[in-house]
Amino acid sequence: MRDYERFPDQAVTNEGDFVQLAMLSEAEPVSFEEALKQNHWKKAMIEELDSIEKNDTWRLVQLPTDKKCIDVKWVFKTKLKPDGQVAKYKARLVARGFLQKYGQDYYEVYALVARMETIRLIVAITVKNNWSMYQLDVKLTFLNGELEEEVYVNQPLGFEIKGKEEYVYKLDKALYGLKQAPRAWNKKIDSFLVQQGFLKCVTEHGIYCRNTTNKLIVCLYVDDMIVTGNNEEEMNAFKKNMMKKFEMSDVGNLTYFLGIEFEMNSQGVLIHQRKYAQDVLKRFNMLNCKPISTPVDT
Amino acid sequence: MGSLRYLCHTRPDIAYGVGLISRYMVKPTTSHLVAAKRTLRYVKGTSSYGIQYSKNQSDELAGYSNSDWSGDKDDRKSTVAYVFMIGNATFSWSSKKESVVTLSSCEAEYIAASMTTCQAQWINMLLMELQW
Repeated sequence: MRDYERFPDQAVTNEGDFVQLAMLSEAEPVSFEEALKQNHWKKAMIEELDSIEKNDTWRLVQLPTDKKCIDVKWVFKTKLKPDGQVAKYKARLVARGFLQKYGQDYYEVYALVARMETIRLIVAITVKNNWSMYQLDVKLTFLNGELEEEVYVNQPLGFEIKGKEEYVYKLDKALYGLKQAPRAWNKKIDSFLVQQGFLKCVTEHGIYCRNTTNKLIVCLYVDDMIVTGNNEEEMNAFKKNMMKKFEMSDVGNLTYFLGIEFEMNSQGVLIHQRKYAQDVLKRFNMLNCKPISTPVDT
Repeated sequence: MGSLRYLCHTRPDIAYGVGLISRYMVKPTTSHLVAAKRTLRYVKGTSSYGIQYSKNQSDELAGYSNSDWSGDKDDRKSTVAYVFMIGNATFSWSSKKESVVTLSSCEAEYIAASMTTCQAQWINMLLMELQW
């Protein structure tokens, strides 16, 4: 999801080929027609549609004459286990958001995240106080965001409802690929946290605190969250509430966040990016280079 | 280059080096490639470096600032840096080339101090909000 966001609009052709190329790797079907021939892909598509349906993302309506409709497209991805075996075939329905027009289909797209130094500061304080840190991960994040704008999408190819082929879907919630999807999600989670009694920090909008008898702090990084505080029970209660509201996975103790590894040791926590550093070295073919003691020639 | 920048999240030690190379990314030459490779070689030897946050660190907040007056020999602009620590663990740092030319090291240090103060204010306010 985050990878996808990095592609600038200009790099995408009108047909959305770039998005597809970027997601493309061996054995993944490029076109819908190709995917439909294979049963496991067909199953994946049905799964995705089911979760969209379950989530009340859209309603089938007739397109008002003054409104435009945007296309949706399938993106296929094979998820592998660390040992290289197939873990899951994933089909994601994405809206071709790059065809949306500012002021007509969307207004604000800005979504905020916590600054890295804030996260480090909170880690420092948390370790110092010997509190535990938990990580939560929201599934299908963007499908949770409620849309303010009226957005219509075509029925996905091959899954048109019989007898209503002319109808389109009006979106109530965001779909992946929509310009306003990240923001809609942020709004949703913001209102939920406020309703739970949290205060958003004025100096850092990615941080929410609750200071009642106990202290609870939430760091927000799009769909990843760090929860910390001085009371285990309250943290657990909060996690339960979150899970009731959103579909999410409790990753447990904080070990890996945004490519940064959190390693518990006897003195506290060591944060490092060993794995990332190795990946970078590998990418530049420098895994076997001779190490040197200073980063810059002096 | 971007991949090295991301590595800076836990590596204040390469912040300056990465910043230095980044300046030449508009029109890189082989010498800049050599510099980038040097940084990578350094990373190779230090890939397990990180920041240790300890249970028994003091909660004293300290900030330091510095500048290398006219460190860039091409345009004589200085690079300013600051670092903030709680106890002995760093959590916030920056290395940034100034946008103006300063006439004395004193002037350059003032700019560094002002930048550092801004950051200190922000940290202070954040800590107040977190009610520490």
